[in-house]
Amino acid sequence: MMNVQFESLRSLFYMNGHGIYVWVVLIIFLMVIIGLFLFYKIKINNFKKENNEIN
Amino acid sequence: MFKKFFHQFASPKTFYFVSQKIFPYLFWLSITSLIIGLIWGILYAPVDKVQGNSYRIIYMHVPASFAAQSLYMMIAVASFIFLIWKVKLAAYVVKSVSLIGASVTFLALISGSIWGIPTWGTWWQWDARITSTLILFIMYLGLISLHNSFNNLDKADKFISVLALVGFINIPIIKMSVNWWSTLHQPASITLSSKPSIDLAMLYPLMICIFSFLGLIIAIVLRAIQYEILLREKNKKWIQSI
Amino acid sequence: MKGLLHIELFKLFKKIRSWLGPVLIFTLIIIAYPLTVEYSTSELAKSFYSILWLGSLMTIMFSTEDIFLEDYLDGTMDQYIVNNISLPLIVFIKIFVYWLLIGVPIGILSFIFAIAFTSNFESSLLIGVISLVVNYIYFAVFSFGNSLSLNKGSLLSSLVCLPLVLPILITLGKFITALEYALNFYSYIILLLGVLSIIITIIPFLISFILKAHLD
Repeated sequence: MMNVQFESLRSLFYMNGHGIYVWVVLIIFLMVIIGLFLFYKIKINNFKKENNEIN
Repeated sequence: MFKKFFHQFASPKTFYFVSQKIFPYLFWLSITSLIIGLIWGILYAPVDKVQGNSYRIIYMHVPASFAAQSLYMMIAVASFIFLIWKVKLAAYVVKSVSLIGASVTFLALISGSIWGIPTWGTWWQWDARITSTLILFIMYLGLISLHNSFNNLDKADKFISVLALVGFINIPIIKMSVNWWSTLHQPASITLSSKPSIDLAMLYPLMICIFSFLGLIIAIVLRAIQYEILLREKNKKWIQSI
Repeated sequence: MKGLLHIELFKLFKKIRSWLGPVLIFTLIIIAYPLTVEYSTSELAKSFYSILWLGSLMTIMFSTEDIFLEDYLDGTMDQYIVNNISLPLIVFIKIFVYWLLIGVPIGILSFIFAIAFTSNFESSLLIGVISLVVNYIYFAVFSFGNSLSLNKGSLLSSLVCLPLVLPILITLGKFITALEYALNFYSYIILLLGVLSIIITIIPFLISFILKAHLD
């Protein structure tokens, strides 16, 4: 049941012509997650830095 | 006892430190399981007979749209708590979830329209589910811009929660009416009441993806609420000592 | 109650641009519509209804812009609260007066224009009645939006409220289809009346809650 569905790396990227859609969606998906995570991380870090400078 | 626990947990200070502790576990657990789910879905799940390999977008699209709707539910519950019991933390939840919800809804829309190109031959259809997701997106943006336009944050919190509740009552109405208007989208693959219309080998990774994505988003929501707490209560003593 | 109604009616009637302006703009939108398409009667009748619904929606959207603003700025709203006059009642009267001076003319005009475009008296009469009902719903919903964005302009309120009225537009579309194919369209009228009754009762309380928050 658990077989890799693609024979080669090439066919994995190509996916019978559908690869481009899958990979683009994957990239956007990861970008949104990483972007959101970094957005709040940077904001909190900046806040803490300012906070320490004031005190 | 429950009341006491509730009040204690609802104090921003306790919430900040508790979520600080929970965050790493939740984040790393859900991100590893999300990666496992995505690899399983993209590499190992069998090919769909009708749609070919492009159906693999489901492993990103369905979690995103599921999270988009659950986040609105979360906003509605939080604004209800804020309006009835005047719990300040709930207002922070409403404010911080609205931005994350908007970006997740955007993700659902984008992935859906890219999926539409190989399967329907067009990136946009005036179909019921897409249209109601677009309306949901606009409602999130409305919440954000409403909160943004008031300098008085107490007022802004009140208005945003009223609007969120009105929108929450309206969402099922919008969904039903848009459904009534037109339907082209494949019916939902997984519903609570009936047997899934999807092969089990495809379903398991999908379930993993849905729940781990939800966990990841909740972890990010925790971070956002922490940021909101820091921002709103920066004059408190415990924050200055962080 | 009667005294309040008179006062509100007089206050709106004095500001001619606030009630005559929207009616004229609605007329201009409908007049502008045939100019944008190639002249042929059958083509015009086809999408006349959607222009009608959207035109009345847009007109009402910005005619409610200053529905609570003046009272808020000059302290009348504070007076109401100090004198213990029920705020939901005031809100209800205000919406009713706006509907009377703007919504009713728009309803009558849509009846007249429907005759002009479709030359069918009975269906045009129905369109006029439906327009009256729907205009009240629009007034209530958009004044909710304008109470949220009280002194921030009407752009915000329209962004916030347009998604909320979309189901009404869909119902109107279904109604038109039923009318054209001679199906049973009374169910849609009853549906809209049901929505109207819910909105008449709930919206004044919601708006007065928001206005009180503004005054704090």
